Amino acid sequence: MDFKQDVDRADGPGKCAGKTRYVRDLHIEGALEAVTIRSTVRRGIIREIILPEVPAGCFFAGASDIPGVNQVAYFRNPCPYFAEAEVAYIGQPILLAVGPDIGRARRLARQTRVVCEERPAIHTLEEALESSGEGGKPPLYGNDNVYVDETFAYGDVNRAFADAAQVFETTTRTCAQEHFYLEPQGVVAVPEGDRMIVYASTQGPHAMRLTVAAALGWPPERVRVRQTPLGGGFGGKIEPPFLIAGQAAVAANKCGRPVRLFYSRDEDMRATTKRHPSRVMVRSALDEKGNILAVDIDLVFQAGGYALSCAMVLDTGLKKATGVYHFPAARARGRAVATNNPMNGAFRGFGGPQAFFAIESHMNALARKLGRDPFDFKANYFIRQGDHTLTGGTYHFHVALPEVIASVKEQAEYATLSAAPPANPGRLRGVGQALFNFGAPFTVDTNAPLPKRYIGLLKREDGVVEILSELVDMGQGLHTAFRKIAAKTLDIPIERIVHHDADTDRVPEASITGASMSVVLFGRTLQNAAEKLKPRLCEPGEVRVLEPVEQPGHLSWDAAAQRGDPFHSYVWGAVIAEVEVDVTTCQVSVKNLWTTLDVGTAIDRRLIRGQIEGGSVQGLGYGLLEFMPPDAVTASLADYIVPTFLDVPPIESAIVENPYPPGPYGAKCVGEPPLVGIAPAIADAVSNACGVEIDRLPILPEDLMRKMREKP
Amino acid sequence: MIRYISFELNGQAVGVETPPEARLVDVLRENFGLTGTKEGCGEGECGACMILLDGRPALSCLVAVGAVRSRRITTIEGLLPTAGFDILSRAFNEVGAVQCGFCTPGMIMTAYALLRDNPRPDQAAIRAAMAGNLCRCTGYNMIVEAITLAASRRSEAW
Amino acid sequence: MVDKVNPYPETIEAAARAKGAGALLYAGGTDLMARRAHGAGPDPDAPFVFLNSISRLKGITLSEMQVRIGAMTTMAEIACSPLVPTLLARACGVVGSPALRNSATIGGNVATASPCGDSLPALYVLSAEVELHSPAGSRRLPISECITGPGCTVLRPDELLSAIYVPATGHYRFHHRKVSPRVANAITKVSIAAAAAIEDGIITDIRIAFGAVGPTVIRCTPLERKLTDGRTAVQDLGGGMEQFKALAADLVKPIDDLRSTAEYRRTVAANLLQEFLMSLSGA
Repeated sequence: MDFKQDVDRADGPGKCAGKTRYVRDLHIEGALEAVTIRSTVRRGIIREIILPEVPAGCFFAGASDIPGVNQVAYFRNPCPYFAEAEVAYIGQPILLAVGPDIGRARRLARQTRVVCEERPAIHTLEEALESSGEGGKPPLYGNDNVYVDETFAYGDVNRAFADAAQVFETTTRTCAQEHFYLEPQGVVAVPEGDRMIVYASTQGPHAMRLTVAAALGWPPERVRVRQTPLGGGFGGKIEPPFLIAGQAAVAANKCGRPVRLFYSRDEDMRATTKRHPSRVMVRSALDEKGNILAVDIDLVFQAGGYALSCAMVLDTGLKKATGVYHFPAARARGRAVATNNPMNGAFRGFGGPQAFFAIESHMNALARKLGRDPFDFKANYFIRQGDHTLTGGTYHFHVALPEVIASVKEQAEYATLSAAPPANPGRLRGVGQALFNFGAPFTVDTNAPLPKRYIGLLKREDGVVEILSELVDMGQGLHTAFRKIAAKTLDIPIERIVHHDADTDRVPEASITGASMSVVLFGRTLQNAAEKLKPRLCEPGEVRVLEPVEQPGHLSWDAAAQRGDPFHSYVWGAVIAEVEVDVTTCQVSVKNLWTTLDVGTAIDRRLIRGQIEGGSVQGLGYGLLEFMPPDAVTASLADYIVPTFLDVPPIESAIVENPYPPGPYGAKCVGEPPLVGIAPAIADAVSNACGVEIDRLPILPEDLMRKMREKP
Repeated sequence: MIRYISFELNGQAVGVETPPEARLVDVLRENFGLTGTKEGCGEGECGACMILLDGRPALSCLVAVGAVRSRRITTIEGLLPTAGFDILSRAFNEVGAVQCGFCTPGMIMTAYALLRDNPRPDQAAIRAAMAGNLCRCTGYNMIVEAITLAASRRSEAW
Repeated sequence: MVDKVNPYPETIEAAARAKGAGALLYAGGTDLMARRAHGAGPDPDAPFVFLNSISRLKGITLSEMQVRIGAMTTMAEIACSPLVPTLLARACGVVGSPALRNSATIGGNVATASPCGDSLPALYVLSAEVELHSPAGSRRLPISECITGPGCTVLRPDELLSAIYVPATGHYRFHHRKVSPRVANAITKVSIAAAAAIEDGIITDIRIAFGAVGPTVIRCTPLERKLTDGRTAVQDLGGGMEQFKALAADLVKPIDDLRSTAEYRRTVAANLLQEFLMSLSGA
């Protein structure tokens, strides 16, 4: 197996032909349909639920039908499956209405009235921070509305600010971003004997098995999760599927019949997780010449009505807050605050897009203010191998920033690009750049034993080798990458290797699929498993190898103290963007994007290109189009604007191969990084085109026009 | 009110008893089991439910089944035996234009109609024709390349 | 009884009677079905009456200095019709997405009377007339008199819009631009449709209409008069530009909503006017 040779995905032809069975496409005999009855108020106490007369064959399911725990047990701060006394956001599930068809289930839901006594709701991030003060609204969580508050620092930051000749400050804001996976959320729960089978579009089959079991109050063995092909995930099919799988299972358990729970698009947009809106203040202490003495960062994420995974997302963003720089001293404080908005959660980039928009905008604005070339200015602070991280760990391996920058400049012909005049009259033109890194996976406490996790291989009697992993191919091509790694190690044709969608009865627990850890960590476990299987390939009958997941030996992480190496490995990347701004409308169009990414070793260049281009366009949407109001959700694609074929410029990408020794054949990750640098690079280009600083995403023409009018 | 509505579906005369107000996408998926037609938004914004109505791309979530009486419907299943589908499918796979796949049948429906009407579209024509098909995985350019590649292999396929 | 209506009427009169009895007219279905999906729009239980069996509602015909466009003509058909003034063809060519334009009809776009209806500014500029039919007979009136507000028309309960008449235009220079949150397939924030007749460098007739900046299309009659009464030379347009823009900004009546701000729409409307006028001077 030569990694340089692209391999066709096994699922491609079936997807083209429409033969791939997504969860909605399964025919399950006798299945009932469920519709969610939701809160219509932001915050309140449920006083009464007035149920209509229930026709034969219909029923309701709610908190009182949960035999186990009414909490989605996966999260540090759980949210209830069904609201009991209080509701914390518009759209919060209260009951399921179940009927023999969707029409009757909907009618039942429409006829149900939930009487709520409204309470003063916390609408925005700012309100959440103020509500603990005098005259504020009653806090939603604790005394101060803050789910998480943590700080990482090194050096004497206070001293540096005391000594500073000047302080430079920027504040950036970002809004919620909708995943918009093309396939809305959906599960089917099927009771079979004393077990519950859940068919689900999920990024975490085994984790779902555990959460559903906890809801039913059953031992996990009685639950089987069969992951159906995902019509996109991007992190959005980590948390919400746990919630709806638990609900459907409770309903199915109540009636003893299969229950389908499928979200419509507007319901999905209204009620499921989004990327956390953010406000990030970055202050730098400068000496007389403009050199940075210290950086102080205050990052706030708006987490919505329940915390969900905000602690992890915030933590990850915070650990990346100083970007690709090592300053003489730095401090980063992060808070995730409670508001009466739908819950936010995991989304490709996982805290990185907000953090990198903040730090890159700060560095770019400072370079502009000082009249310095941004690449030269930033190079003074680049992280180098051996430097310590914000958490006191070490950058153990080569930092490929110089190569990455040289490559992206060469691709874009940067020297002449900046000087070129606009192609069209009535347009302003600008070139911008952004640098980023992406640490992944998170390091798990090295002072405690690792939880037992496995990747397996099964050589079947017919000689075919099946990869036994729960890791999900949600379109990114993970199964192809895994098959290539196995084929190379086993030195057999890739056609002999299969990797099915996960079935928790067949495959061991490994992890949810997310945080860009699948190839770099579990891919290595797979390689190790294949090395063990290889000498046994010719044995007759079945041969099974189960390889435990281990963390590489170079890592140290003290979870209690939050000190050490936060991530296993780092991808280094750079983006150059060229934009034009229409002076009539202040609309920004991206003319070109160039990305260079250090992926370690490239397992499949075509798949990597798919990740870079797809991530870039999600980043472009985040940067320019995808607006949601700070205290409301846009529930229609007519108003939530995602890029189309016509909004996308030529995207060129290059790879720097800087192998990471503990990864499989030196590979790092590639799923999330391509998104994070795009919006900051576009913002920089718009700033250069228009002569104003961009401090908010997306860059709406309404805001840009106001800025340009107010420009001194 | 239930009525009997007859039309041509993938080359065959069919009929269905249904309220004429029912959405075509539901009738295709539920009454005929043609699940290659996907519903991504239900409001005509995403193109995952694209079918051909009298040969032209139409959004089956915005069509009431009553409106297709005596008309001709083609779904992805109806394209499968054609050389055009084969060329498009191979091109999509070769270029890497398929990721999660949920938008793909709709993409192929629109691309098929485009190439039938305009055998050698340039990039701009492809993007314009495909503007109503959303994809969240690929970033689109690989799909444009796939359609260009399919066009270059076009013989008598359409 | 609505239940008794034939869902496939073959005459305009029969369709009009069905509408009068409470049925919903189904033309292209795009707006009706999208609104149903959101649980909005008219009576969710009302039956549909499909108009595609009525041949008189279809097709584009040219006769005696006017183009008759049947109400069931789709946006896609108009966009590529050589009979239709290019201004209208262009306006219909930027409605929604290609597949949507294959279904959506001009009759639906007019009768829906949305402030962001993309065919409307062009129809106002072209002084289009609508033909309304009821069982009692038919009447014709200017489009500006047909549409009275957002979603509101003078159509009576038993009346349907059967055709649009567009007078053949002389040698006009047309201008159309739609500003929306992305390049295509998006709802309009503000749009301009305009036409000008120029003889020997002098503007002899000019018509300017803005979409999505008022309850209905805003036709800029005072501005048009100022430009024609003064026999303005196109080369002099630059000198009065700030005044013209201010007048346009004053005439439009935009609002703040989820999609944009009144301030932005007002400024862009004025800028679009400038872009149009500058295009006349060839500068």
